[in-house]
Amino acid sequence: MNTTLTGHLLYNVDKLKNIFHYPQSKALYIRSVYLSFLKREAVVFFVEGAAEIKTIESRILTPFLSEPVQTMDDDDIIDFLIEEILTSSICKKITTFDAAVNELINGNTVIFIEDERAAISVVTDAFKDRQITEPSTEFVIKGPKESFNESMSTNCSLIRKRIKDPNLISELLTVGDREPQQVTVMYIKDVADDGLVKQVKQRVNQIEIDVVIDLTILEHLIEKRPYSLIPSTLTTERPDRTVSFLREGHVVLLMEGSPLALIVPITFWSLIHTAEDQYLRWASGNFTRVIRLIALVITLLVPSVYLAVTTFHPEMFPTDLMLAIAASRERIPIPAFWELLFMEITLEILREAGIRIPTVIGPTIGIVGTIILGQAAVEANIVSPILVIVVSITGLASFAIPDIGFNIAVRITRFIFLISAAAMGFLGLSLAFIVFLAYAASYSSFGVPFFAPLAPSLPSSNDLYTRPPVQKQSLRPFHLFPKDKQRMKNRKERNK
Amino acid sequence: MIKLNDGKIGAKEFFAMIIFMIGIKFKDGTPELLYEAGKNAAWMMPLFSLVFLLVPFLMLLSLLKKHQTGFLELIFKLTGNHVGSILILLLFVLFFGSVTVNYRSHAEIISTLFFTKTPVAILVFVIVAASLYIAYLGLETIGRISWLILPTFFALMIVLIAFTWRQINWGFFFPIEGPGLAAVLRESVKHSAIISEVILLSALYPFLQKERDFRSSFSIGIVFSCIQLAVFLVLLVLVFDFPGVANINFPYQQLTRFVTIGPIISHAEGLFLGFWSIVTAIHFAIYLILLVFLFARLLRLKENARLLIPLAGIIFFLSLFPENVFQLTEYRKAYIAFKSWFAFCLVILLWVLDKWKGWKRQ
Amino acid sequence: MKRLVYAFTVSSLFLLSGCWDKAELEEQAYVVVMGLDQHEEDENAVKVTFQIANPQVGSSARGDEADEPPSDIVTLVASDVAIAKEQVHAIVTRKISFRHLATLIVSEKLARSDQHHQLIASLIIDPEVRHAMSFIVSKEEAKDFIHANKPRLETRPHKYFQFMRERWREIGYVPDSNLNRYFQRLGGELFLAAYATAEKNNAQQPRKGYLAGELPQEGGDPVQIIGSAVFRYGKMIGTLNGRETRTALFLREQSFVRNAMETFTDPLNEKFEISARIIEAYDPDIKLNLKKNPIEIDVTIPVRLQMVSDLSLTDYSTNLKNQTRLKKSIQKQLEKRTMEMIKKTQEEYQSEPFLWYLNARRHFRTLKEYEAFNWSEKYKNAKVSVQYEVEIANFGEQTKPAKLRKPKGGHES
Repeated sequence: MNTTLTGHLLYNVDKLKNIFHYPQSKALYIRSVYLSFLKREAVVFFVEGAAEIKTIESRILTPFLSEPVQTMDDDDIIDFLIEEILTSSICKKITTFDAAVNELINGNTVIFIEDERAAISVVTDAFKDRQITEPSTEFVIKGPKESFNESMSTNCSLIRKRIKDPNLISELLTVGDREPQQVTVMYIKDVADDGLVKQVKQRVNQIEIDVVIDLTILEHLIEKRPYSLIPSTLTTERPDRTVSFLREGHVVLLMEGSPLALIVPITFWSLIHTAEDQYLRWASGNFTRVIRLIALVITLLVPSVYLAVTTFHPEMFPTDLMLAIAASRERIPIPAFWELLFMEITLEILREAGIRIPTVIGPTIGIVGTIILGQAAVEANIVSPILVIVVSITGLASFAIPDIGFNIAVRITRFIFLISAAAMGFLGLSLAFIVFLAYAASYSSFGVPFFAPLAPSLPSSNDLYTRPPVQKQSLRPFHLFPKDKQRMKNRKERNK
Repeated sequence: MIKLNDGKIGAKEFFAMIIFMIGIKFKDGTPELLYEAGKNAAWMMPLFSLVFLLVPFLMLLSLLKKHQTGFLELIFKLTGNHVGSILILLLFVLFFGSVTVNYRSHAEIISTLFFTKTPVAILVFVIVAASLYIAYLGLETIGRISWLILPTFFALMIVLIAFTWRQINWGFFFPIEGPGLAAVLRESVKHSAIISEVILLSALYPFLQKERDFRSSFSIGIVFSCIQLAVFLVLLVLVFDFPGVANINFPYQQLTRFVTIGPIISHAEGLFLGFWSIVTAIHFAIYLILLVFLFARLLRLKENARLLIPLAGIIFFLSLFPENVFQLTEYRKAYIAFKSWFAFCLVILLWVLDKWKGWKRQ
Repeated sequence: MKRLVYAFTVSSLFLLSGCWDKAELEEQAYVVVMGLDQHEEDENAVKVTFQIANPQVGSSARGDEADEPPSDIVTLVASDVAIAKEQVHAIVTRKISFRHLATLIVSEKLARSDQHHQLIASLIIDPEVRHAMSFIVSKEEAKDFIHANKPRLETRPHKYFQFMRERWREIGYVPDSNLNRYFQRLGGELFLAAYATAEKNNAQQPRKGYLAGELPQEGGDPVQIIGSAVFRYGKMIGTLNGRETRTALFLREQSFVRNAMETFTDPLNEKFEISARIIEAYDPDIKLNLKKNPIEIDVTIPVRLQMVSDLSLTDYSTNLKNQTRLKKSIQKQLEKRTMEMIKKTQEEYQSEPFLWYLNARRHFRTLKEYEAFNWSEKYKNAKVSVQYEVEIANFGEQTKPAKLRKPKGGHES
């Protein structure tokens, strides 16, 4: 199909009509126009809904039908039209049907000229976009409140707005064989490691698939280990967060139709940090971060530790507490493990249902969940009240893990730990823990180990469990091998 | 260019590995051996052993620096292929034996104190499986998790010391020389194998990112480990007094039973068991990976993680042989004495050979 | 291959490991107090009493059985504790667990027999038995003691002993004895164990220090724990009353009892008594001269006094002359009491409970030399001198005692 345009207008028009199944499909709009100043016939094509008619009228038809100021002095009619006649800022010359089709489906207008072997494409796209709204999942109290929308150009502009630097490169790549989609690869040229950029582009180019529906699917396609529990990429809806990743030397991928930016490579730390950690002052930012880490530990370990203690190591609880738990369990017919598993699964169902449920009846789920399940289960002696506390703390804590992919990974791991604790108490739990830790430590995202720069230990600004004050975050993390390793030159150097 | 997964480890990771190989020996059967030999002055033994091994260590470091190769290659290079093979075979057998016994004794500790009804075979199996998996992920991963776990390890050890402080009586420290300085020295030499195992870690010399890192981490790690061993050997004596501590089977684990963390955790030994198992898994993973190194070197195979599985299998079955750990005690003493001298002599031999060769060339 | 290894390890960790040692919390019977008694006829048998906590009493669980007792007490005869732990299942439905066992009570009769040490030493083999377990000697049968011990405020028996232990550490009438300390002092040193009884016989000489059972009491809990049982070579050889016990604890170089209330005879008015809180400001200074024969022991104890009561209403605070007299008198009285107590240990028990053997150990380089020295033998004849360095810190919140202001000449109104 990759044939070049012929000099024969009618043939070209017919062929394009065929491609778009005209007249069976009403998508293609055709408008013939006679260019009196050239004495040539021209045909204007655009696709319904994709192109904006007003723009076509004002930018193409009006100049075509009026008498030009300049006279034709160019050999090439196409170049003359682009340079002298058309008032649109972005026009380009195309020579193949493929390109013509591609332009049309992207909302642009294609103009065929009589006796010319090339055509003109004018940007007239008018896909409907959402307004820029406040972020819905990565909300902050203090800090910018913009989030990406479904338009790639808007998203690019949100990023460019923050990085006013000619070194911010955005390269366009195409993925998908059947419906080619554009992917923007963004990085800062004098910061990001060349090898990393090359690797990312290579992974995108290697994708063999007919169509990439969304950026989130692209995320799966560029991952090396699709079965892994741990994510190796991160998506964010916050332009400011994206920008801070770019400045560290990460690579960002954007796609049309996706309100997210895909960031690679990532580490454990990027999964548990939030934008607000940096916006808040040192003490407050670290406090929230530590709280989140505690929440992570609670989500992962509290149910299994409770199980290990009650079924294997009852001496750990003070005698009074132990007796209280024993008393509350006295009439419960099911073993602690099944009791806990039952409650945990119920909690997971509640969460899932809470997302799927229509917003109108959403609040009901909370009432059903807490009252019916919690209260009634305790009343009916199916679960002990202390277990309800354990499960609610775990559930509450799990909401504090910011990244959705990591959040679910942690919740799944929690069940594995639960089983290992049920089998061998603290021995099983800790061996399962170290096996998982070892797995995570061996895991890497685009060549960057999961726990870098802590293990393997590399120079960085120590923005890990906690963060230093902003003035002290002078180094870019070395695990990204940034070309420019220092964020701030020290004062002496600056004064020189 | 990002090259973080090139199989090499950094200085900090190597340091952590040394701590987890040598510095945590107070948690297994080692204190029993040391208390029997050194009585209440057993805490001096790791320090004296270190002094005894100082010369071989320095020789080893200079040899490694000179030849810029790992320990095993060094043996081949200096002693030739045949003698080298025999030496490495001997090293392998010695090491293999101690790994097997250690696995069993760890399982035995868990079995006696915590999981009395669980069959020992299962306990051994679980520990072998966990350490096998970690070892399978490679040297890099072991280094990384060692470094990740190390701060928690130190923090918990400080918690242990802080919460058993009330049980301490400094009077038990005396008589300071225990069985007499001469006896302690003699026993230190005999038991230096406890530390000299670290010589095998120098097989990892080519896997360090920087050559200088090896020397610094190696020396700091060993000194740190010995001090740590000494501190805990003192602590145990201060809590249990001398004949008491030697009568207790697993003094470290008994010590953790004294820990009461405020009103929340009345007895923290379960917590310490959990953490001890984590450390144990790393400890054995280091041993396993060193064994594979030896084995692969011996048979001129490429370092291959696949060797780990049959090796771990054999260790698992062999460790189930003895009826109980006490059967091994007598044999173990002679074995440790032999191992101590073997390590010492091996390094001296290598150094002499190196000098001799240099002299011959002139 | 890789996936195979992965699946293998993971499955082995989770599936192959069984649940051998798993036990649900409510399926176990937690022994909180254990009593040991000698059997009347069979010398090789022991009567073991388990006091098992009842989880339902005292917890907030709804619909609790109000009629159930807070604990279940079972006594059985067996050759040792391990056997009793098994045999008790003929009676008790739930699995017996020692994991919350924090108190061991031994009857005086058993403690005075040779059987005692064998029992204790083999008891500790059980990994569930803790070295930190409290060790109490009861004057009567341990079984009777446990039955009689029905504290009024604390429904649950473990709570009673938990709080009691805290009081011991504060007041020092009772040593905080546990098994670990027992095992530390098997080499001829004296081990002090808490002494308790539920049998009352009021003291003949009041106010001179009480042993359990001698303290005149009306109302309150049926059990008294005061004073200590003295053990040597794992066998009970006598008792020390509360005051003596406290003195013994005061004389230790590393003592946990740092302050105590004591009464003294008023130096200006012998009829009355004066009470003071004695605070051991620093560790006592213990000097040993082991070269001399008999050996010399010099103990200096710096104490500070807080006057608490002054029954004669003498002005000691502003009258400095009186103050000096008081100080001297208290110092003499303290030294006299201490010396009496030391004499008692030297003559009656022929060893010391002051842990001075640890100070002696410092003078030796090797264990052999120390053992050859034979500390207890030397201590018997040692010349001991005790010196208190008394300092009066304050006189409480009154500058002068409030005296009755009766008009002179006596206009009775």
